[in-house]
Amino acid sequence: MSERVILFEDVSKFYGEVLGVNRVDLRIGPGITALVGPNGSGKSTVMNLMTGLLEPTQGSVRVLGEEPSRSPALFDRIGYCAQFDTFPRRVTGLQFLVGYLTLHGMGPVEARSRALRAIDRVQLTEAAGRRVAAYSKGMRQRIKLAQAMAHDPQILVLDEPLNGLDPMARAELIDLFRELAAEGRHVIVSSHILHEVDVIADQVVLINQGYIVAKGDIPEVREEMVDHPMQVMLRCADPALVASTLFSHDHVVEVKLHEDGGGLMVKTKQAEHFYLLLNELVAEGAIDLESVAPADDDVMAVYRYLVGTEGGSL
Amino acid sequence: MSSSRRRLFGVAKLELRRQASPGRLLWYFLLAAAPVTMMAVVAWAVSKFGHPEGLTTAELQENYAHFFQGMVVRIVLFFGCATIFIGQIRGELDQRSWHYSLLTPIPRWQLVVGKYLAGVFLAWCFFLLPGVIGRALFQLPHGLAAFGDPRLQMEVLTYLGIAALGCLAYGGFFLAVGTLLRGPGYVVAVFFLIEWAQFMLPPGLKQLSVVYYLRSLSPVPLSEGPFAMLAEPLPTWLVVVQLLVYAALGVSLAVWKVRRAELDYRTK
Ligand SMILES: Nc1ncnc2c1ncn2[C@@H]1O[C@H](COP(=O)(O)OP(=O)(O)OP(=O)(O)O)[C@@H](O)[C@H]1O
Ligand SMILES: [Mg+2]
Repeated sequence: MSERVILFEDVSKFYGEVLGVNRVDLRIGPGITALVGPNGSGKSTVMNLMTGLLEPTQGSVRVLGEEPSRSPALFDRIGYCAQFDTFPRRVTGLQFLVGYLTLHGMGPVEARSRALRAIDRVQLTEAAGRRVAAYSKGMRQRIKLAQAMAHDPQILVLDEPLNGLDPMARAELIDLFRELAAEGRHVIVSSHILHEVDVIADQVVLINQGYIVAKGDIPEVREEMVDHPMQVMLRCADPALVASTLFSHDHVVEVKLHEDGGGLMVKTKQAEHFYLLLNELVAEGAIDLESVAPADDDVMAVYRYLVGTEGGSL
Repeated sequence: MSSSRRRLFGVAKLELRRQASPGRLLWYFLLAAAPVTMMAVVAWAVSKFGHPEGLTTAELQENYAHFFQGMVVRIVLFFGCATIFIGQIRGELDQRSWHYSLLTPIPRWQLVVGKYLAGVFLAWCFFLLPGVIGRALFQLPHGLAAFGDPRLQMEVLTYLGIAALGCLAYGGFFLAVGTLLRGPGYVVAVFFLIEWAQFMLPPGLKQLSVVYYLRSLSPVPLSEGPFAMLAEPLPTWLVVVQLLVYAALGVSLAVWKVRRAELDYRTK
């Protein structure tokens, strides 16, 4: 079974002192997996580990049963569209693909026909003979994608492939990801906007500050997020009284009084319920609230950010 | 062609295309043309004004040997190879295109070796002949008939061989420097000084200098000057082996670094 999956076991990656990712466990099978997190959360680090460009500081990474940084032959089965928006100098789109296809051991004729097919799949056929340096951002994204899939790999790792594309192009690429997944491939797509990828993903992995905060299919992720305790800072007139009122409710798991006597920190398992409750208490005049603010390190806040403003339907 | 040879060939071909920018080719051409132009000017001046004393063949040979070691080796080969070989892996890192190669099924050592071979090919294309053409031009006013002499033919062949070995050794050195160091500029400067001052260095340090080996291959014995720290003269075959080992060490260092390095495009 391990021959068919990408497996991360207790993987940590530190860049010197800087945390890349911490204690990641992942199991990714065929289909579309979305890796979602804000800037700097560790998405590219995970993808670079998957493709052997980085080695884990701790733990083990196995791709189709092999260690990616030690098995060159694996790269016939992996295609990686990295985040770097850079290319070899002075190549045309077609030359770019053909050049690296020859490194996969293909002769010129086969390399050319494969390259043209991949370029066709990303709809760049007309621009194939032009220099990549003269491409628009969207075209560069697509030629990178074509390069990643030209050798027909089982696994496609795509780092923010939708970045910089207009809605039309996004829709087209999303269709392409679906096709690729339907062909039985592993398609791993990263994004910092959840609703951009959740509809197509079989599995979603949420990552924040180097930690995986939730993973699974969409209902599972929702549940995990709902269960995740969330912290709220309240400023009010009589914190002790407020604390005892709140604590009588099941979903409030922890209450801490602030040292200055003018507020308290509440930890709750159900954010929605908690806010409803708060509204009721204020309306009844039971408590005298000055302010309500989610605490800074709140995973829920990240989640809300990822979901985006119109993503509340998740 | 077998698949693995095709891959190595593919690496070399990509490298050649990468290096073949008009600016770089012009620079290699100008470097190669410099000694030829200088010798053409000398030939013209001698034939026009005549030589004051009239040199013997032996004197001609020695004069040219000094010119070859100074101009051809320490300027043309040095800077030509520095540009080509530092530009290989360091160049890919600077252009952020190295990951495309790392993501192919080619073992990393083959990536390095393929690039090195491409660099050697390029260096030989440009830098093998200037020393030989220069020698012919130098001889021109005194009559090319002298080249009928087997000793002169041997001399010309030896210059060809020295240039070929020089490219291999400088190539290995600069490939390693460009792979190991983010900012190789100061090392190139120090190495340049070493190449000019190697005769003053103690024997242990001399071995770092490519010029030290190439000088001892000179077809005409060269006096080392009054400040020279003399080392034992070595047989030719041993010097050739040493140069090959020198080149192989450079390539091995680069391979070692590339095999254990993680991708990191940050500049400093
Ligand atoms: N080469 C490096 N050296 C030091 N720190 C690094 C390096 N690469 C990444 N990091 C750090 O590791 C963390 C995770 O970075 P990573 O690039 O994986 O995030 P990301 O989710 O891909 O972000 P983005 O959405 O901006 O692409 C960040 O704090 C980043 O600063
Ligand atoms: Mg990233």
